[in-house]
Amino acid sequence: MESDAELVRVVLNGDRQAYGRLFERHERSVLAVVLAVLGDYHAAQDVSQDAFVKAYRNLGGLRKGASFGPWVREIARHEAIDVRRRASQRKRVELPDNGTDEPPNDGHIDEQNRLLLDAVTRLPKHEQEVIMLHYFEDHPVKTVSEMTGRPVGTVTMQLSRARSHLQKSLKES
Amino acid sequence: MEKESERLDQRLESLGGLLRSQPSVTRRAMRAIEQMPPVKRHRPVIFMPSVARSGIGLAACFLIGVFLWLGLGGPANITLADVQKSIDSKPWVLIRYDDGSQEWANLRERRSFFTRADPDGRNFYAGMRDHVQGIWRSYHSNWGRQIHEQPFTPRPYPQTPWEYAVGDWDDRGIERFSRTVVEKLSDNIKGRDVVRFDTYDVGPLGFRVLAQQVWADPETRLPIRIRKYSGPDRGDRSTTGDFSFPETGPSSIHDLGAPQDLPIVVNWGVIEPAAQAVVEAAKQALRRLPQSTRIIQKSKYGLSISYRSGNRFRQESYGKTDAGHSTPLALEFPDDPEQIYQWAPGHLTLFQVCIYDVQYEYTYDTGEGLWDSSTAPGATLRVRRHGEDWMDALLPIRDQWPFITNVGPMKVLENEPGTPPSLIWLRYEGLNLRRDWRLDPSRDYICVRQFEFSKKAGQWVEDESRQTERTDLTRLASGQWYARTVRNPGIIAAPRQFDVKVLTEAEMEEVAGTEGFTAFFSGEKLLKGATDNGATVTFWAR
Repeated sequence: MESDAELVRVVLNGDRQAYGRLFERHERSVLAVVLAVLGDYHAAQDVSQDAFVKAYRNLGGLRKGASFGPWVREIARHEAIDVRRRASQRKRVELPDNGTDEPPNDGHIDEQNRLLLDAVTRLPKHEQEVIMLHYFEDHPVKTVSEMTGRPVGTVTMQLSRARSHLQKSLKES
Repeated sequence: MEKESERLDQRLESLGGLLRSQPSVTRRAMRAIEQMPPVKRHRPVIFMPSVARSGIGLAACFLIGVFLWLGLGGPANITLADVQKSIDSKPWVLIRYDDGSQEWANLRERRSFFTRADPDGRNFYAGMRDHVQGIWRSYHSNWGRQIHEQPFTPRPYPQTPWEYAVGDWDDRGIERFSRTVVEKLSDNIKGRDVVRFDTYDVGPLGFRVLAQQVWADPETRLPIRIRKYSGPDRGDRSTTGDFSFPETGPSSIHDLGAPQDLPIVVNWGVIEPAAQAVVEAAKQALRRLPQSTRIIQKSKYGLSISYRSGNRFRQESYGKTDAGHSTPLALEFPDDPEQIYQWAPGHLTLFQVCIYDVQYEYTYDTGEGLWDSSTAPGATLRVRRHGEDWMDALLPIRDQWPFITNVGPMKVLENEPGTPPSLIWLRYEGLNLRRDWRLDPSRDYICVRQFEFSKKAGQWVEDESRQTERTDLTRLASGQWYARTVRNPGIIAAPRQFDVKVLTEAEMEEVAGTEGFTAFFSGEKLLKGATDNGATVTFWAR
């Protein structure tokens, strides 16, 4: 399997389709990050899409292709915060609802999953990444190892540590 | 401890499953990306390294970075709501459409103007709505030398300048889609980079249809162009309008081209009180029909079996054709309606299934009926959104009660000599169309005779093909009346026969059979089945 770094290189050489593969690889983890901020599936999908488009536009500036995952998630998180901020401003001045591009509120994530997502997004970046790739993108440990360029043993250890951190964090919350 | 770890593992897996079950946006995003230029690696550029090493240089580099970041991210941050909001400060919005129509909106005074003319100038219309006073004034070249004025109750919709400006406010307030999706794309108009917002209406099972496109200037955020889709999603029913923002606009419909010095006729379409009472009584009769019924309609060439259960409706249509699907074949039915409905599926060909579930009408055409020369053979399914009163339009015996939706000048006339005195003669007379109904008030106001006229050379001429006679008035066990036989004397056609039966809950369950009551009336199930069978699905835009 190609690593993220290789795929980024291929995209920068003009192959847009390779970006689709990168996209599919990280789509669920990006959705998770956005969902943790917005709590609404429909809105999260729209923001995820925007984040990937923005990431593509700025891909030339990404110094380490291997960091594509954390990088695109960070872009998505910023986009989501921005959307949340604008939505709260709109509520404050009580502007009429224009309807068409406001995400409807029928896709809310439940509280338990929201807490879990919060905890995942507060993990150290390298642990966050393996949890998302393994559980959210459904990649086996070996694939996660190939994608991130880390040895299988390292990924296994990071997963184990991440789980411990999550347990602790969830207990506290 | 191990149990806790196991539980966490399960929670993470379950959350992962939930995330993966969400529809992917990859294709949407890739469509946007395919329209963008290929991305290249940025070359590192070093500005004045000696200065950059100093504190001032670092600050300058930071500011440049912020500037570049904002510059790159600017257009991407525009939303459709920003574009809609951008016109708020404009006094006027003018949209010129490619079909020759124009919409003017005076945003400060909340008045909208509309004008349309055929290219040859034969049909010209100009209208003005004052959304504060609730006045609608209009002129049409076919209406004779007069201007019509009619009050209307300003609705809660439209509420924003955008809604005034882009029109559609007349019915959008009633029939808004429960969910829309907006996609943002880069586009180009006459060499100028713009942002485009595609709005899709989302229907059952996630089917979507392109309903509207808006192009906007990424710098000013003002709209440049709008395209509205109104039919099935084939791209052939749309109008495109270009925005401009003049400082002034028309003050009356005369400024748009309506002739001066014409008399203003107020409330032309008013219904006289006596007629209004009859119309209301007919409406009530229709409403009193039992909520759980089976209606069989048979004619020489067709059979339909309809079921109504409250606000759900299902109709199956059967028939036979020749091998080339070009000629209908005459049918012979068993006499007993109880036999017909069980006999039909095994002896006739199913042409169509229609289901209405309060929100959508699903019409599944099996492709086994007559083949229209303009359409390719094959199964099709059309999904169209309708309001709550659509059931009235679907009921096969609905036209036995007139005027459910008609609006216009109506009056009750004195009966002509020879007409049974028990009948009521009701007339609608527009500028070019007249309809006469003879209603039987003792039998639920059923219309037993109907005539239609059109104006030719200033004279009313009857269209005999539109004459209708309803006989064999029959009373249901629940007390309501309906006509079993409907004839059109002006055309050579066999009568249509109706049989209405009130069904108990148990009988309706029996009809639904093994698939169950809910599935029997489920449009989504019909849609899924049709899709699995390769039917062409068309989801209609608003």
